[in-house]
Amino acid sequence: MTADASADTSNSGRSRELSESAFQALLERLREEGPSPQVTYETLRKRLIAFFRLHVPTQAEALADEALDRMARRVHEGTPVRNVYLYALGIGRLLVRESRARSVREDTAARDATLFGDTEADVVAREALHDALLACMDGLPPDGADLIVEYYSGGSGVVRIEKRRQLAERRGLALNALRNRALRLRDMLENCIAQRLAARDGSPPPHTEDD
Amino acid sequence: MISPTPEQLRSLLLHRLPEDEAQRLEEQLMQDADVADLLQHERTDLVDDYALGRLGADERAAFERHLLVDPVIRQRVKVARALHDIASRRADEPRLDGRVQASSKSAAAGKVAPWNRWPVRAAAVFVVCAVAVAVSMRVNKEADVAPPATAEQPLPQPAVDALDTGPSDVTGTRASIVLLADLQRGGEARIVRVAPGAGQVRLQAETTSSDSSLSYRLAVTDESGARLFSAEDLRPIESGGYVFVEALIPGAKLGTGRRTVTLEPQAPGVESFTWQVDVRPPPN
Repeated sequence: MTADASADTSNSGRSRELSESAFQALLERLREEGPSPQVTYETLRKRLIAFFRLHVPTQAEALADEALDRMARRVHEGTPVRNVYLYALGIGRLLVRESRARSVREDTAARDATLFGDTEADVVAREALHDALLACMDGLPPDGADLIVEYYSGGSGVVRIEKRRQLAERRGLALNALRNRALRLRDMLENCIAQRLAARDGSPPPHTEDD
Repeated sequence: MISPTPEQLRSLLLHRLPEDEAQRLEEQLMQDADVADLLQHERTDLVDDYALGRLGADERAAFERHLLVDPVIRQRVKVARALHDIASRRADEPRLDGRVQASSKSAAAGKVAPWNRWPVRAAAVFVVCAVAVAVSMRVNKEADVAPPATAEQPLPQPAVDALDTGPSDVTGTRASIVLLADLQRGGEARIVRVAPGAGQVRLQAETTSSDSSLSYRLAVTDESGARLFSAEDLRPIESGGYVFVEALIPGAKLGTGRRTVTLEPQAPGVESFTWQVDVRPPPN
């Protein structure tokens, strides 16, 4: 896997369109993984995004697409790929190294960007966020707002674990089921807020982690 | 394949795992859908912990270095703070304004709590309110139920982020101002709005030591250095991941204008803190 993936470094920095034949070759290979190669492709892409978010979060989606493009080209060239997930990961690791070599270190003054100051613009932004949050909570499925508030306000550490266990017990759910429900609701909420704020600002909706 | 623990996932997110263990987890992430869900779950808890100041110094620095560079994460931090504010208001709901709940049509219809009715922005000048517009301040309101004249009192809820000024038809509301230890920031004064006639303002100042045997002295001075208020023998309180000392300051003593708040341990060798605060009346 590593040797094959290493060959891809020669493509570093190039942004070639994935040819139709390479894409078809990849889908053909993915057909071996399950009944729907399209579903496997999307699964691979989502997992690659999750991997890239660990290392190069601001480019996660673009790099996931680039990794799949490279993988398709290798498959099309006849490279045998035994495990598509690990092969994609190998390409992903190379892309992370390339990306780090290219990029200038981003300033961690980002911390300030999470805080609202006392300028008029910040006050307006804070109120807009608050309004969007309230509206989006209203739009959650019945009981969703209650669940999300309770699930995510249980403190930290062992206290949080215990409160979530009690919450699951009260609701008659397994802890995993409760966790997945809360996570889905939180994703819905944050996507909704992002959409509302983008609509307010007249900008395109930003990417969210759930994209 | 054994599922990774939350601690392992958190360490992966913060880039604190040895290389080989990180690579093994990444392989699991690529091959196991559950691991991706678990990772996203842990990332959400991590964002919440960062947003609410629950991380230790090392974790906080790692979070800022590896996650906060992402605009999506920065937005999530803001949402986490706002969500926490809502949760805290909800916890205070019965004491703050029982009338709103009792008359809520949606509540009567068995719907979800009336979220939209919460942010009733107070404009009335008779309302005692505080808006911590500053980044270093958090505001928590609660009904004014016979405030004790003590300078030390545990909180029913951890301090929450400031958002708006609360119900406009509630009189006698007591404001709380929270000053965070890591946001003292040079000479820049943070604006706090306190309505004229405020009875008492609860001031919470974060410390970095949870040693309960320590006592602190808290003082408020004006621009000329004149002491407006002081309290001694304040003991640290631990709540919601914060350690702070607390004092009730008469609103009349706080007044308006630039103020310096100092928190000094009554023992040698322990860090002291200073904040600049600009106390103003609410805007009309």
